Amino acid sequence: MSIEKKSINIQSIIWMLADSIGIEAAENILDKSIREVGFDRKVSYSEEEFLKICENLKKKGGYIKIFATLVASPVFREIQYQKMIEKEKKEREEIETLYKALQKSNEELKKMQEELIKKERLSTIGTLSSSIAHELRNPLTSIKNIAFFLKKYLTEEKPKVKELIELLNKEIEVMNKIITDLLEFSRVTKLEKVKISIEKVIDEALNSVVILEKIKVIKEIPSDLKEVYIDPIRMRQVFVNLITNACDAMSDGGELKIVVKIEPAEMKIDFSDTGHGISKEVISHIFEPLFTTKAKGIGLGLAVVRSIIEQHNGKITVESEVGKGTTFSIILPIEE
Amino acid sequence: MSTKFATSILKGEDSFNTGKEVAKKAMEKLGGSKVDFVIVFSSSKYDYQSVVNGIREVTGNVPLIGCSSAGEFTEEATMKESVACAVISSDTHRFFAGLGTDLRKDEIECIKQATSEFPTSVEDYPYLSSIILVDGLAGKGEETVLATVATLGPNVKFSGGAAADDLKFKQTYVFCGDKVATDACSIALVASKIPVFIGVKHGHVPISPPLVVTKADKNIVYEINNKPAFEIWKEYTRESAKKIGIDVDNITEMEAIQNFFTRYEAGLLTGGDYKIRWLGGTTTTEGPICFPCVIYEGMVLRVMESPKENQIASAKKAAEIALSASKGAKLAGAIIFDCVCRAVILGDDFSKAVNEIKNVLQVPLIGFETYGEIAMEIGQLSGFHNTTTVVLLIPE
Repeated sequence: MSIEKKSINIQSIIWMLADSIGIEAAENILDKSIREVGFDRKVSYSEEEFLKICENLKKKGGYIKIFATLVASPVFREIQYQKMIEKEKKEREEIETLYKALQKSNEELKKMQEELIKKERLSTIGTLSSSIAHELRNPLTSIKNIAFFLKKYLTEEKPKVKELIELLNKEIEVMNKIITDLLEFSRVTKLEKVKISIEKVIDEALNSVVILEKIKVIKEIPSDLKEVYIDPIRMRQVFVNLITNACDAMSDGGELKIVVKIEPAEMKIDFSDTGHGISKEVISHIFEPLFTTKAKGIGLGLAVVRSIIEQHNGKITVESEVGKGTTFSIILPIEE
Repeated sequence: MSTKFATSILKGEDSFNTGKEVAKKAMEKLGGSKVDFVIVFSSSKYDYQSVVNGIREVTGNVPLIGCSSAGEFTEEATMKESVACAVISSDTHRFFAGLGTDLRKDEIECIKQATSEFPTSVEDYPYLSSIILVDGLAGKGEETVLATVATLGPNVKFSGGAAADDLKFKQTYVFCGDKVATDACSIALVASKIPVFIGVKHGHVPISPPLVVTKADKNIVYEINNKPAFEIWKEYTRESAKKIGIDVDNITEMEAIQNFFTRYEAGLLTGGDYKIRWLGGTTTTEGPICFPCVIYEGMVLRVMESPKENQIASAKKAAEIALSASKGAKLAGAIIFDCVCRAVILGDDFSKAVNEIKNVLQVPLIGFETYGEIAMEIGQLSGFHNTTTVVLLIPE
């Protein structure tokens, strides 16, 4: 809104007069005075029109005469104009502040909505996964059995069939892993900790995963390693996940190095590969449930890994360089 | 040195000696600094000229303004039948004082006379404010303020009060320099390096619907809603007045009438609040109601009331508003213009209201009980109030 310096806002004059004789009387007196000089009631008047109204007002004498003299004076009107400018500026600044606050609120609301949707999805997954997983496990077991028998009866004479059945078995394992991850994610399981050698758990995990010959596995584990209190089944699951991911990243071969170090009150286990690495954009999300860059899987594997590590009061971190490889580091407290 | 503000208050028998002693006590607190301005409020018990003469013997011929009052107070005490005096020593404020007479006859000429010697600006002292003390029985409160704006210009802040006379309603006086006068106004112009700060608050709420003034002449209202004014007032206050022991149908004595109108005043809906108008000049129950300022036909009034606790709270609020406006500036002292109506409503609790102000401001203060209060910021065009507390803060 811009203010025409030469035009007089009649409402502001009414408010000024209202301060001493009340709004109703102010409007009445000014309206009457406006009509008496042959004008219509408008929001603003030109300087010439307004001065004519003031001259008419002065005829009323007394207080109104003094009032009219004052509001007609150029000095007074200059002050009023400056005050209106200041008021406008203040109102604009207030609107800008409110707008920024509103924008910020909107952004926060949007973020909260996204979080809520995500949580609802996870909650839904949690709720459904258990029953769905069990429902899926039954036919999957049947499919696996069928694949076994097909292999037994058909593959000797038809090598192409053998190839297809191998592929079928692999897909069954993928589905099985998805179901396992879903069940694990939805489950609230109490750890069953026992004292056990971490090397034993690592070896069991390595034996559970099919590792290509072109991938070299190196273990650096101190010979005098003490036993630790962990849930061996859940921890093996963690190691299986990490080893599988490392192998998936080295489809053309590479090196998988597992290093165990003892630090005061802590055990550090690094799983390093020389695979394709993870980009900066992706690395901050990889532990998030349902986040995946793979064509297969639903992105729960590393979320489950982190969950199990945290249940052990430990933590897991990742460092990676695209084209060079990735290292997952697990830190577990050593409980006496 | 910046600004020093020192006060004193006392009662006495001899007017001249009371004036002399009260000035001496205040001067002692200045610690030898030169006096630049004097403010004095005196009960009608004293001979005003003698009081002023006594003060001048101590302070010398420095700018002085003051008036007769209906009660006096400083940060030390709240009293009746006393003289209160404030002395200011300052190198951040310059003071000018003037007296105008024949206020009832022509307020514009009266103001011109009072301000004839005032400078339009003072080099190095860019902020202008004015303290106006006006005859409280002249019925020209609003006009006087506006005429002063028209004369001094719209770049001046105004505060002040209407002189009183201990609720006698006979004659009020203003003081300026070594003169005292009735039917007059005493005006001070203060040119400052830092602005003064003003806070205004009343404690009233409406208890009637809008009522239209249908017949009026100057400050006398004859009819409201086409009925005798007093009858309308009785109609809307009957139930409420009963609760505080006032039988509106049997008020006859002048004191009782004024007490009644002090408790049930008129409110004018203005920009966002009500401006309070006291009806205490009324001396008859016959019909007309007398206001301290002009009332136009067509004006819309509401009957207002204010419980005791509202009056104390509003005094505190006025101080808080002024303090808030000062935005942390160092303060030297305060001048309070507080309506006698509030003292009537509060009775013995009036000192509580003064204490609330004192506790908020934490500076020396002087004040008097007025027949009207003046407060107007730059750009406003109405400054006369009733039953209101006006706080003027003088920064260091």
